[in-house]
Amino acid sequence: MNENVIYEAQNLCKRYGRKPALNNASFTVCAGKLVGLLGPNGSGKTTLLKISAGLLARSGGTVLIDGQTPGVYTKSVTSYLPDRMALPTEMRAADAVSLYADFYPDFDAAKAHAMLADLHIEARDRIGSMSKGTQEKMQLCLTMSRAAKLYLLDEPLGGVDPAARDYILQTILRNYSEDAALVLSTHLIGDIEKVLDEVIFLKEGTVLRQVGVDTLREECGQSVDEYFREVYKC
Amino acid sequence: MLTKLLKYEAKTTARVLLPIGGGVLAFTLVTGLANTILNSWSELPTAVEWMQALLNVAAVLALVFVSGVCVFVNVQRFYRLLGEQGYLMLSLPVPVWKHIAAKLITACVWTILGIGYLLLCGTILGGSFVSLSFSGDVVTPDAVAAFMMLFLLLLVVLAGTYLEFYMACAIGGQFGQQRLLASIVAYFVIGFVEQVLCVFLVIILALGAIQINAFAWFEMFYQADSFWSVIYIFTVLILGLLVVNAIKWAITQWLMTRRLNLA
Amino acid sequence: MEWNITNGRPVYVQLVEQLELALVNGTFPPGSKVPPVRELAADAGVNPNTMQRALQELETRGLLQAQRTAGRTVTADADVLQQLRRKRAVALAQTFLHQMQALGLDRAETEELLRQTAEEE
Repeated sequence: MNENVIYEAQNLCKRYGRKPALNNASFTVCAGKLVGLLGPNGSGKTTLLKISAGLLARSGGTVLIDGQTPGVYTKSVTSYLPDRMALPTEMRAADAVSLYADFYPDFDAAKAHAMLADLHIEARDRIGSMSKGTQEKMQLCLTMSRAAKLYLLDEPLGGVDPAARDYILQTILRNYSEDAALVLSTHLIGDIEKVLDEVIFLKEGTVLRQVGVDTLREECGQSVDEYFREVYKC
Repeated sequence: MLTKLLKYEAKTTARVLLPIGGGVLAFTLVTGLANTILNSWSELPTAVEWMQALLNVAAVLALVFVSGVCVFVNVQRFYRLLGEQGYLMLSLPVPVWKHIAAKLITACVWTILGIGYLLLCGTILGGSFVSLSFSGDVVTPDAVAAFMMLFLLLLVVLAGTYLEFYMACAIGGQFGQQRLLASIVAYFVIGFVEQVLCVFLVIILALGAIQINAFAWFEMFYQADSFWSVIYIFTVLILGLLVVNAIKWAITQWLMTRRLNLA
Repeated sequence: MEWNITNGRPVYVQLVEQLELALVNGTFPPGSKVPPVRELAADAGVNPNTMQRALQELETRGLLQAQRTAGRTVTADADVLQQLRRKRAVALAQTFLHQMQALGLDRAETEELLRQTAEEE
């Protein structure tokens, strides 16, 4: 059992005007764990991940990655996959790889090229000319080609076909490292729950519960998916 | 990391600016050539004279266009940093000041090159390629010093102009959905505030000057070498502008760290 | 090998069952090396820590042996495997008998049914 806490939040708050997007969210994630951040749309998952990635200022509370608040150091050890296309569309695949290689010391360019080859992406292909699904897979490849301490994936499975889901889950499992933690947010649990160690349930900006997948199954005799539906019933 | 950012910035802006600049330069060369040829003929039919005039007007407009594009592209780069490009660029393990610096340096370099480019095109349009020569005795220490001061002043004013755009973008970025509108409004508001502050400053300086009997002080100035007093004034001006620029930078940086709000 | 992880029951329990099955039906022959945890987990589409837990359970049951640097091997001890085989077979038989009972067949009918079906195979 690895008690090395890599990622934690304490009473994290974020307000947009009067509206609270995050309301005293607290949790801890240890190294070597694959954690799911579950919640319906609007529960604050993306806000939480953006704050952790250093792309959004928090309103209150703390979030720490490897013991530091979001800044240059945490960005160097965190690999963040946004829920949208972040790469400029006029860029070529090879340019994107060299950008990552230039700025991230822990980036493995050989691994990235190998993954892109698996996806039949040529180095000279323009990102704008790829299908949406391919673009998303490419972003995932770049994200997972880094040897980061924390991987934050925002809705990596949203809106992709089942084959792509399998590919994404396989990529995540094959890049697993005991020294790193991976947190992915989703509102579609389904077969992804077998891949997760723990799940954090987020509702209206607060953490309802953080629990292990098997513990929950033992406790309720249900899958996380079924439990989720009950908890978030309208 | 700063050099890498600069390299990346330079490549991305060059991709847009070089083709446009090249195209307009070609057009200018054609117009200049036409001018040289047509000007050497004594009698020209009115129609041809009209065409030549229109051609030159077009060439000048093209130059104006290129200048506009140069400024626009550089400001747009920064605007995009706080928007669509933000997810990629601001996730990089690079302190915010380096991002600002990279964009500012690239913008200033392009603008200075642009000024040189305009001078070149201007002389080409004038039809005489030879007027760019320097006579050796112009290059005196005084002239060099004056040129340096002017250049520094230009640089500081240039940096200030861009920093004002950047600050407006950073303020606009606080407003999520209406980011573009807010940035534009912020730009004009900043301009207005600056003008009001300048008026106040002038009034205070004037009052202050009267108070401490600055006239006597200026008398002393006139006795000194008037050239060096001009240099002295320039230095004060440059330093003052640098302080203002530093304030704009600081505000922009603060907004991009403590108040970052990527949509 | 084919993995079939269903909802409702803990993943780890299902992994142990299916690994045991793989051991008795020869997918992992006695004495052979077991693939590394990460690979098995990716194959099965499950969390590596959960797979690790399942493999450790099999170690405790004496079905697997951990080599210090070289991963895990299936036990060469035929007795242990035979016991496991027997245990699973008995469990399946009991289930079958209960199901036949639920259908309303008695002992004689059940045995006759088995014999006939086996001959037709």
